[in-house]
Amino acid sequence: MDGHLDLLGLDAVRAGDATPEQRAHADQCADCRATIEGFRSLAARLTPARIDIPADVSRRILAPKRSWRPVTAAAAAILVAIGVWIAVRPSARPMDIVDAYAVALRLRNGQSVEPTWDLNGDGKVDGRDVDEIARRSVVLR
Amino acid sequence: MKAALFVLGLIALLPEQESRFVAVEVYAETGAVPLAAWQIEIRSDAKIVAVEGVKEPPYYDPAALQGGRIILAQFTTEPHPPAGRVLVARVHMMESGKTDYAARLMAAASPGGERIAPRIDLVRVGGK
Repeated sequence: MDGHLDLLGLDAVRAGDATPEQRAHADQCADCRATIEGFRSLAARLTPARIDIPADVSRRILAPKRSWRPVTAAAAAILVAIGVWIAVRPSARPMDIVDAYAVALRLRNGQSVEPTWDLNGDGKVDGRDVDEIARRSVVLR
Repeated sequence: MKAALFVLGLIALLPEQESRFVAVEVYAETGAVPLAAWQIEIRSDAKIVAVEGVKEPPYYDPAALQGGRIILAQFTTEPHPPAGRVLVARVHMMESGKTDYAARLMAAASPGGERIAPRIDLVRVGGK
């Protein structure tokens, strides 16, 4: 050593981490100060330039991410609802001769018949509606 | 000219595809369960020309006549309908050539309306 600060000491002064002795030497030594200034200049040039990020980009990046869980839960709920509806929905079976027979039997026995069987729309369920059920049962499609 | 006449003569000698009228009896095998209502689909290569019931003519779509597919149905509210091998209908057909028949039960019920599933048999009667 030639009495000057070594590289680590020079950089410690530049970074503000130097000992009091190193700082005192740097204050008195023009060579060392020049080298430290060179280090500062180099460090400034090596520091990446500040990049201004547009506000909306920052907002999008920092915004809370959309979770897949609510979407999946909603889809599952819809599937469950469809399943339940299929299980409990009224029968989609087309009317057949057994329906005609059942209505005819209730009429013969004087029992009440659901007004939905008033197929000819005359306001009552009678033998003509039974005929209509039977006729519709055999229609070719 | 002679060759053409010869060919025409051969064509004239070919046997014509003869049509024949047959009946197909439709049976429901119910076992011991009385048959109160039935609905059966019949398919065939033959043409349907008429439908006959046992006590009353069954329900059917008149549009099925002259075609090869028909749905027949009937019910009775009488207290003691027949059980066992029950003749439910007779369908008259016009066949041309080899003909296949198929039947499918669409619905059936015992007295009271309980659904049952009898076996359906077709028996071809008449023709060659």
